[in-house]
Amino acid sequence: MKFVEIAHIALRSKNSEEFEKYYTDVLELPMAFELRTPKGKVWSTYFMLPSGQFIEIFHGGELPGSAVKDDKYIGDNRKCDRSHFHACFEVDARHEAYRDMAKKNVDITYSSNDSVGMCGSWCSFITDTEGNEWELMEFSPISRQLSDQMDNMGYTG
Amino acid sequence: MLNYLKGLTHVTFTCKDFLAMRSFYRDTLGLKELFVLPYNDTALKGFREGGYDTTELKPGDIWIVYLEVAPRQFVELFNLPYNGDNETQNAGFHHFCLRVENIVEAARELETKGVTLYNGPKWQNAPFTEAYPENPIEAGKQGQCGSLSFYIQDPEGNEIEIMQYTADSWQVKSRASARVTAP
Repeated sequence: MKFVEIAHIALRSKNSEEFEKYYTDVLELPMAFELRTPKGKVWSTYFMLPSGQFIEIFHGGELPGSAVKDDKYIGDNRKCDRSHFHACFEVDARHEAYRDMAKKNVDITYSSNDSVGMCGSWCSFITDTEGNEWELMEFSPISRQLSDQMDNMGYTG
Repeated sequence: MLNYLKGLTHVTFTCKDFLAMRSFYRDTLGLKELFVLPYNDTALKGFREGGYDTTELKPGDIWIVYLEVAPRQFVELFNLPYNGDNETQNAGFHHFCLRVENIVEAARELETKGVTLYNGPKWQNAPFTEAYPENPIEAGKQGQCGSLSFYIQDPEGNEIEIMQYTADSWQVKSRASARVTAP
């Protein structure tokens, strides 16, 4: 079985308007398409990344072909209470990302001395409006993730 | 679109049964294990402060294993138990999707390994009672978006969608409109 890619990551929203705004305004992802229920209500929305991968956002409500009346989570989506920890975007200009998030008043945490993590990559973190953490990772010449493809990683410094 | 943001590079799960999760992603899904990172005091302190129970963990124990899905794309597993029961219907995270070139081949391999396939998330759908069809398009398995997919769960219950794009896939059309040349 050969996997081509992580095609998308799908998230539920309690406040889908605010959630969508985060992905369109903060991360500036264009909406690609919507899936609708037989009654015409938007069920999920796909936002596309430059890589052609997607973020799928579920809006809650009744699900087609299901007894589920409202697909919204209950509780506070606390990280330590679930298996999903975070997902990660690759960036290629971390300082630009830090400046952009600061300009948008989005909290971002990163190493104050610009050091790489144990994996050899530069890691920073933001959190969306539903409490899902996103890592922003820039690979470096010593990234363990790319250790067998160093010649092809296109690092420009 | 932000010019510094490229794409999804990994998804991370904490594990109550780390060995079962490692085996599932490595042996059942066949992902290549790339490297392992050990715990140190700083990491353990951070997780304790974040509400995790780290009493069974000590510096030097395995913290992270990285497994490769495709070039520059990974699944990251944390040897770190979470507190709840990972009720997947009741969490912000819904599922993640792995794209394959041949969904029938993927289904056959997983069926042979004893993995149960579902038409959608397990909390919403009954499992398939027959083998995944040899010709899924003729069998009407295309979703609203035009793609073919089924769901499986990892040992912690996280939902994984296995998907193949078709000529009708809205994902493919969206990529074409945006002139994305990725695989």
